[in-house]
Amino acid sequence: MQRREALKKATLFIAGIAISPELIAKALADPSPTLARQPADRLALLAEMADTILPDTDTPGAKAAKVHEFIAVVVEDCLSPERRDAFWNGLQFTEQQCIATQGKSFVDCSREQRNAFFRQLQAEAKSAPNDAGEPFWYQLKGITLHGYFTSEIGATQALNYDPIPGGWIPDMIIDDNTKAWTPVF
Amino acid sequence: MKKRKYDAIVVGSGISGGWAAKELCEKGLRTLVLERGRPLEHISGYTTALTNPWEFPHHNQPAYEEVKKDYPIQSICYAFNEGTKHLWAKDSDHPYTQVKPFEWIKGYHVGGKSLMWARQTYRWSDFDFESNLNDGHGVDWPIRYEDIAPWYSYVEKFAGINGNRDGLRQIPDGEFLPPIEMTVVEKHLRDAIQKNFPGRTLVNGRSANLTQGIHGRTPCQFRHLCHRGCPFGAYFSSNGVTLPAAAKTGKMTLRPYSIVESVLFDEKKNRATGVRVIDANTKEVIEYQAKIIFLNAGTLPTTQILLNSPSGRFPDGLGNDSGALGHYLMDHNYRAHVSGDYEGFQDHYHKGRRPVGFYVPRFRNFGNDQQNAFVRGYAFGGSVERGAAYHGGTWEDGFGADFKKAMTRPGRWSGGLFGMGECLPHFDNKVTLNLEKRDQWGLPTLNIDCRWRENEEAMVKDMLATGSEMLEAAGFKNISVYDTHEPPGRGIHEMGTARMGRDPKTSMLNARNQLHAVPNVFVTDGSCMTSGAAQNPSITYMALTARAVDFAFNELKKKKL
Repeated sequence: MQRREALKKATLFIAGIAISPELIAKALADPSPTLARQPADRLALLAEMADTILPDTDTPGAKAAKVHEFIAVVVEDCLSPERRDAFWNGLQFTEQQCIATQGKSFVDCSREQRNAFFRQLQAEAKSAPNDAGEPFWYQLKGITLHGYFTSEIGATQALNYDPIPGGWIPDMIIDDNTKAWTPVF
Repeated sequence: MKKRKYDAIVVGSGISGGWAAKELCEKGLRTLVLERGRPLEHISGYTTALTNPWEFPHHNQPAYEEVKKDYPIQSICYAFNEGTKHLWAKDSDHPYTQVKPFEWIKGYHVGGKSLMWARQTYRWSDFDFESNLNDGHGVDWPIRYEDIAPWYSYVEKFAGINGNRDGLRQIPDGEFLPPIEMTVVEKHLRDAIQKNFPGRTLVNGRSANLTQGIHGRTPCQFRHLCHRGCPFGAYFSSNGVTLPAAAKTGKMTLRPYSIVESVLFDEKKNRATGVRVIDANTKEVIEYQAKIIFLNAGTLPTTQILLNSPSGRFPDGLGNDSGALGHYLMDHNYRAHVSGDYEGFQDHYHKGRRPVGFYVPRFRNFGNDQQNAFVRGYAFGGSVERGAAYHGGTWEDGFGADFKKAMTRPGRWSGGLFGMGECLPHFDNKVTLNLEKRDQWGLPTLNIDCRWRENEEAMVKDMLATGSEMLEAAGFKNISVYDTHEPPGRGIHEMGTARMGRDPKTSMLNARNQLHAVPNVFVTDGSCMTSGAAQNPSITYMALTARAVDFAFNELKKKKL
């Protein structure tokens, strides 16, 4: 009861004064200017790659969670110019590699071809020399995982979202189906 | 030029300034609280407190260009992110000079760093207050544990500190709310340490987060988003706790955007008469007068104000007969990180996000554990928890449906220890005024010339060794041992540049935090610290502040000020 009251109080104050739900909705609806500048084919390629890593299952996958948009915006806005260029160059090189080995763009590949190509990328990344810089495969996988599990779909459906736990349970027994609590920051 | 009169002036509204304001106002003194930064209201000012990760444009990562331009130093702090960036002072607005690398972390708004602090609260012990006398590094503290103990109790009861009564001399027990219980693997680590390393103890962390509602505040909801400001008022901050108490008396005038240029001094009376303020927005200069002045601007800003208040009587800064002002800068040394994974307890988990972990109080150069490589010692903080599996997923094989399912599972038990080393007071670790480089308000900036020295370096090596041997003894795997090589400043425990002492020839302040030479000026922020100990210092600032106000009020009544 105390928790519910406290939450009500906090939400009232914050929602009333600082960030009304309407404002949040507006902010979410406004497309990021960074996103608006992104070429459509790049977003389409990222969407298919991210969705191959985290596809639709019993919960929606990366494409549904718009992880490709997150990746494009974060690479543009949050990485240093060197890391940003490395990422886009890596994406382009990977697409060329796909065309060379599968005979077509990753976007046009079948699910089997995509999986085969990613298995190849994974094998190459694992055997890459340490001084060659982080392989694109790991860059892509890392940002896809982060983007998905911090998206609304990933955070609230794939994981167990508990924004206001209200208490601390230091020890509980779990089984093979227990989902992780969503990390919040 | 406008003139204004008050009974007392408090410079700064952070951890110690908030306490000075509350205590002065509750004693009935009309008190002006000057804050250099913007207003920030409790609850309504915490604009990101309930924001979900996906509601931030970059899911809580700060943007590169903005960081590079405005926050190159602040962004190094562990608590800086897209959801907290508005709480840090822009480096671009507040320049200083790093003669040697020193990361100066700042929060310029009402409440200061009391909003973003890590809330760890350990009493200092008799052992700490005697350390300088015992080994000859630094001057002797003019107080002992018994002088401050009742004031620790006083501030703990109001602030609300959770913890376990462990009966340890290094961290005396206080007035605790119930502790926040450890995870199963932390208890396992605790037991392994107890069995294998006599003299070392792992205990519950102690922090200023409520585990029971007190004084109308709500207990911790275990979100662990403290750094954004707590809408429940569940952790101690000036904004949520001391400033509301001060405001309730009707005696407080809080003036934001007020940069204190200097303290005004009357040579005939040998008293400070007030302060000169520059309005941060209009640059208007205003003088305020008061009978007593508390400087609580934060260690370096307080030192800067004193240095920038020269007079015929004090050509080197107010009250600086000793030449100690600006010297003996200390921080805590957080360089040593030891972490690992634990493979057992796979069917155990936890719920909620704690605002505190565990603590290993100092054991080196304590009791039978005497070391030759260094004097003093260090504590460890740490935690062992399970995150989500996706955190380590980048380097795990796989992709696709099965991989996705595996990524949604609780992660490995992982965690470890980070060292918190005592730093010795060294004359050459110092700050000076840079008259050549002025800020946008025309004030001289600071040169900071400070580095870790041999004792601190030796301690880092030892922390890495003892930290890893404790994890090994508990059966941790994949142990990683890491020296961050971070410079001083990043500990955000800058202390000592206007130190207390018994002798006016070697220190600035007496046993009551009163300038030896100017009796109506008190300094109770970190600049007053004579040694650094290994404990987080904020609770000690709170206790010293309440104690100094009590003394100042009695002296005022006796008409001695």
